[in-house]
Amino acid sequence: MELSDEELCKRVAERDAQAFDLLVERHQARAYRLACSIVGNEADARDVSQEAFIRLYESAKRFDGRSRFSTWFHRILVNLCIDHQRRNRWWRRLVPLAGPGAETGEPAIDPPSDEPGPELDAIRKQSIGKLRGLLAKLSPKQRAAVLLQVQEGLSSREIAAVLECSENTARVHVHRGITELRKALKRK
Amino acid sequence: MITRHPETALVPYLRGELSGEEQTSVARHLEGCASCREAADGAASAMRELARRVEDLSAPDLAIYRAELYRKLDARGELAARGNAEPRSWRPRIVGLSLGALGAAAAALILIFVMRQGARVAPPPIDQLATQEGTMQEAAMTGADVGLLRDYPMVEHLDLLENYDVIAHLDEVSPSAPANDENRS
Repeated sequence: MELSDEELCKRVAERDAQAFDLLVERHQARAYRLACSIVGNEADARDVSQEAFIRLYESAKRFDGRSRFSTWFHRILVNLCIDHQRRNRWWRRLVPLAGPGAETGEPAIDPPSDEPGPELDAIRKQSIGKLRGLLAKLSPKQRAAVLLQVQEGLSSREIAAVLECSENTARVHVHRGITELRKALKRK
Repeated sequence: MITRHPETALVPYLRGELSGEEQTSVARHLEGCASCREAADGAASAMRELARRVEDLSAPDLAIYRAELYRKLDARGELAARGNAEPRSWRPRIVGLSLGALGAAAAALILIFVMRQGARVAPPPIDQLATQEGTMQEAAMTGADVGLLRDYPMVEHLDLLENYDVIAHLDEVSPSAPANDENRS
């Protein structure tokens, strides 16, 4: 019988390496993709999503099981992404190369990847660049709210739980985010 | 009955998240409001487009990703272990640093004090030397240097105004010399 995420998390709290391995395997691709959509950069998405797993390992004891594991883990991940975006905002304004494609949708100049397949790498970067161009005008919370809804399929109530705000506030974030998204799509 | 445009309820409506009553209210509003219908259609197509672009994102090589994660976790574990093993080693260092900082601050204060004292006793310019003697006498007359005069026991018995000559030549008198009758007269 397959163990639930919540059960695995309890085992991680008891330092069960195999349980942690299973959780990483289950959530790594989605965590990376969500981080990539929010921060708009492959290398940063890797760092941020890996940091989220490290935080999960370190603070598994604090998971009390009152919310679903996915909500709890999303909260860790999204908070790290939002912090990352806020920390890097001034840098992106000062150095245009750090945030290319925001207006044009062109691919970013990312640090070199250590993975094979330069063509695949180029396609991936192009996709990220286009997505970043689309989401450039959204605030970190709007971006997170919209992506949690569209990419992760979360309801307004679940988004509110992740962003630790009221359901109405979550709806406002989504509404404003989608409005900006529509404007960006019209510009293209 | 909705009296205002249900802007923030449009996306939840499209996703079927609203309660039955609210869902019906928004549906009724949309029937009679062209701008909200347009907004709802626009939101639906924007979300579809975003979902399509998100699907284009591919994950990195997950084996490499995981290996990197475990490396980081190990490094963090090592750091934590080192942090636990060394709580005593940094305390003396901080105490040492504090003492050093205190010493430096004290030395700086002493240096400033000495420099200020030095500045006070610095010799006057050569053109002022001529007037210095007169100034000293005046100081003695006005009692500005009374502290100095008290070093001379005879001064206790002098009337400053009447014995101006004695006071003017105090530098020729030994401070330890007892006062005598001659001086008194």
